[in-house]
Formats: sequence, structure tokens, C-alpha cells
Amino acid sequence: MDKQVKTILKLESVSKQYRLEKNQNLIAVNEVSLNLYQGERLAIVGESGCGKSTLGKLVTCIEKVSDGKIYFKGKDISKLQRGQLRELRQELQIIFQDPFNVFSPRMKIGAFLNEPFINYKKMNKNTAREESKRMLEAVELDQSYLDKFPHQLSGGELQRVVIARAMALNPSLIVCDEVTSALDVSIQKQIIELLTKIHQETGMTNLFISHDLALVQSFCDRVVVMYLGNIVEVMKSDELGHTAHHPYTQELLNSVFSVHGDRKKEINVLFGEPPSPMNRSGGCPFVKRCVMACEKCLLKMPELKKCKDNHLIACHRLEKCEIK
Amino acid sequence: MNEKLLEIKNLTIRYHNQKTAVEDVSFNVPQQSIVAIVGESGSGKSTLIRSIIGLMTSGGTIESGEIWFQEKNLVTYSNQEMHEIRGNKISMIFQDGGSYLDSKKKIGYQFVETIRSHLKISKIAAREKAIEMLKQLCLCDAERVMNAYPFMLSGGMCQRVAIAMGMTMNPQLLLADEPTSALDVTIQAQVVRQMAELRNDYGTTILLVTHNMGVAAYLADYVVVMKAGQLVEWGACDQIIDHPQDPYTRQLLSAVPELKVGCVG
Repeated sequence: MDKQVKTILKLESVSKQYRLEKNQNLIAVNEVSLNLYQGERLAIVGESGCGKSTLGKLVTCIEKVSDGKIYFKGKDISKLQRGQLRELRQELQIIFQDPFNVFSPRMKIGAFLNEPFINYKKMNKNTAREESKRMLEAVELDQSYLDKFPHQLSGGELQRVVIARAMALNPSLIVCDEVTSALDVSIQKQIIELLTKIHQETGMTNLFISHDLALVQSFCDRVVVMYLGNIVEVMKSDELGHTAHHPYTQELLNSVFSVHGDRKKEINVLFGEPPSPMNRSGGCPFVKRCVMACEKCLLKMPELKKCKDNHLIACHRLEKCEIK
Repeated sequence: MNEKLLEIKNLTIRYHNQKTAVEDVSFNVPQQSIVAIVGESGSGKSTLIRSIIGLMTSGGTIESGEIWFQEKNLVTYSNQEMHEIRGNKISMIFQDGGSYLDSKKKIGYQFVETIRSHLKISKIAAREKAIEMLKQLCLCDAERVMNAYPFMLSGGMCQRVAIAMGMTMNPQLLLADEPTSALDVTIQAQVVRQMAELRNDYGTTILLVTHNMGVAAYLADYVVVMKAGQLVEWGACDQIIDHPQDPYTRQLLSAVPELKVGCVG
């Protein structure tokens, strides 16, 4: 990626803790620092509970950060108040996993699509309806959908409508939180094609949260791998297959079943489950499941370090190794 | 080719007042093989697999067709006869292992109850058998699992407990309805390996429903492709995955994003 490209979003050691009973803290996101460049499609991958969705919510200010700062276009957005947040949300949109939960069952698609325009007093109802038609066309649905109710649409169609609404006010950053995981593969392909088309036309920045490595590789420019609230590796997505070095990333890659892959291959199972984010020890978060773990890993948390251009890694064992 | 363990002949299933969920489907499951049924949601694959064990959700009826299992037609079986087959000869695991277990009772209690509904043995003997089963399925701290409530275990653990329960009576046929769909990729790999081992170690025949083409391609010997209640094509895995004949199968396969892996490490 060109170094001159503008940074649109900058996270500076962002943490999010949830306070549970008995003075226990659940650390969902732990000191995450990240840059997102203009026009980039950045993926966040990891298992459930690794904090990827929380990160998406922090970026869109749905959740407040506990620590750290988030800069959006150079402005700190981590401590904004209601009015300012309202203004900000024109620029920042989020799309969720399950389109069935997004809609009010009694609201027609047309009313749903008009909402952003009316809400931000951009135009009157009639022009908003015209605009809604145009938006539906952009997501390859015809205008007859304006008078339909959500239950008349399939999951894929609903997700298209959600995308249309998120795009309505031309946001500069869109967060996609597992947008395709509730959908069938063939529908998933259509949605990804649609998002690719939108990206080509508008150059919109996309923070794409997913657990599907193969999908991420085909859609995104850069990949961030998270484990237990920490970033363990950042790399370009086309290098995911051969330059991923963190043991966790490799385990993730091993766990993917490829359709045309080697069917005789042994599955190297990553034993155990991710540990609880509540009782966190001082060492590397991955130490208990790592095959390469040493004493140092138990004691000290590895920092995210640059091992070559566009490749960051947080692992003690790989600090010294030179990757050519 | 091996002997057929299960044969489905012209099966048609209809939910009342609705269109047919499964229409004129025929295929067979050879002994000690893994057969995967793939298709999109609403293609009738779950209905089909549930009909084999007589567990259709309300309103589903078999209109016509036959289900032959060990040279007996299961369609003609009474509830009493089905009850004897279930768990003993055919058992089933579901998508969400956690919801399959009673959340208010300990795993041990449920496991012992399951075993004792099939075998006339004491509670202590049943408990020992349960622990042995759990250990065989790589749940090493079996004692802790037995004393845990389902919510204390992760999704992958619950699914493996469900598999252990299903395997206790050493059934000839294991029906698995989307066993990995609710799980993370790493846990999915664990469960997939588990099922591959079941076939290798116990000679269990597995009929698997999945929408994950990668899992089907890895695990299955035969693949059945379904669309809107109809069988599109079925055959050996290599043939279906590498040389699909039907345009729908090709479309389905091309929709799956492939991971481009170079030399790892």
C-alpha cells in the first residue's frame, strides 16, 4: 500500500473492559493499536470471543472505550457526546450479521430506506423516496421492494437492503460485522460481489469482521488476526497463505477445509479452547495452546513488532527469526 | 462396493398445506462410509435426515417412498419399533450440542439416564461406561465434564459430549445434522477429526448434513447434492467435487471462497 495514503482511522492502545460481579474484569479488547487507510478493506479475523465484534462496536462508538483513543479523520471520537455522535454517524456506518434482526416487522422497506434522509433532514419524503429507488437499484433490487414488508424478503435480499441503507449518506467508513455468516454460500458470494462493486465505485473504506479466512483473503487488502483481545498478526491478505508466521494464524489456516484441498491431509487439531478472558495471566495470551511456547512466553506479553514491510507479529519465538 | 446399510427409495415428504419438502429422493449409504448431504437452507436436507430416524418436526409426513435399513423398511415401523432402533442402531447428533442437553441437569446425570434407557445396568456401571466413552473421545478430564452443567462447557465440548452419548451404544449409523455449523473453525476441525476417527476406529457409518462444502469434501466418500427438495446429483466425492455434472453443483462449488495457501512455514 502506498505510504502517502491518508489514515482515516487510527486506534491508539484501545482497551475495553466489562466489569462483572465480584470485582472481576472481562478484558474484551486489550491495548489494540491499528491504522486504517483511506479506501482500504481491512479484515479482522479470529475465533468467537476474541474481541473482534467489540472492536467494531468501539470504532462505531456503540460502545465507549475504557482506555485509549480512537481518531477518525484526525479527530478523537472516543469521548464524543450525543449530538456530536449523531453527526459522526453519517460518516460511520455498521452492518450486522443477521439481517432478520435489523428490521422492524411492521415497517415497509421504503420507510426503512427513507429513514436516514428524514432523520438527518436532508430532504423531504418525496425526494427521499426517489432516492430510495436509486439506492435499491445500486444493490440490484427493483423498486417494487419499496412496498414490501421484511418478512416477504429472503435473508440475502434483506442484507442488500441493509447495505443500501448504510450506503445512503455516503459514509467514509463502513464496518461489516460478519455480514455473510448467516447466509448461504451462494448468497454470500452475491453479497461479496456487491460489496466489491460498491468499493470499486465509491472507494469506501471497509472494516470487515469475519471468521472465514478464505473469504477474507478473497475480499480484503489487509488482515488483522486477533486472539483473546490482542492483535497477534497483521499482514497483507494475499500473503496470508504463505507468510503467516504466528502459530495461532497457522492453526487457523490449518483448520480451514478447502473444497479442492488435499483430502488425505492430517488435521492438526488445536487442542483445548480459548482461555477465559477474565483471569488473564501476564504472559502471551496464546501460551496455553501454543506448540512453540517457552518460558518467556509464560512471563512476558509479546509486543506487536514489525518483521517486514506490511507485516506485524506478536510472538517471542519469532522476534529473532529473519523472514526473507 | 460395500454392502448398503441404508437405502432411500423415492422418498417424498410433505408438510401439511405446504409444498413438498423432499421430493422423490433416492440414494444409498454403503456400509462404513461417510455420506454428506449438501445444499442451501430450505433444500430439505435436514427434513430428509430427520425422517430416517422418525424425528420430523411437527406436521411432516412421509407421503411415499421407502427407507431401507438393514433390509427392513423403517417407514412401516411403529413408534415402539422405532424406539428400539433409535440410539441402539441409529443415533443422531444435532447442530447445537448445547441445546440438545438439558441445561438444568448435570452432564453426568443425563449421560447415565441415556445409557440406562438402553441398557439394564446399575447407575454406577452406567457412570463408569459414560466416563470411558468421554475419555475415548479425548475429553481427558472426563470427571469434571460429568459434574458440569452444559453452560459450563464450551460449544465444542457440548458437541463432543453429544457425540459421546450418541456413540455409547455403538450404533451402526450415525446421523449428523450440521454438527459443526455453530462452531468456530478450530473447534470445527476437532469435531471433524473426531468423526473421521469414529469411522476408522469403530466402523461407524455416518450420514452427514452440512452446508460447508469444504467439510463435505474432506470427510465424505459420497456426496449428495440437494436443491429445493430434489436430489440434484449424487456420487463419489471425487467425482462430485472435481467433475460436477450438474450446473447447480458447479454453481454451489464456485461460490465457496478458496484459501490460497502457498508453502506454509
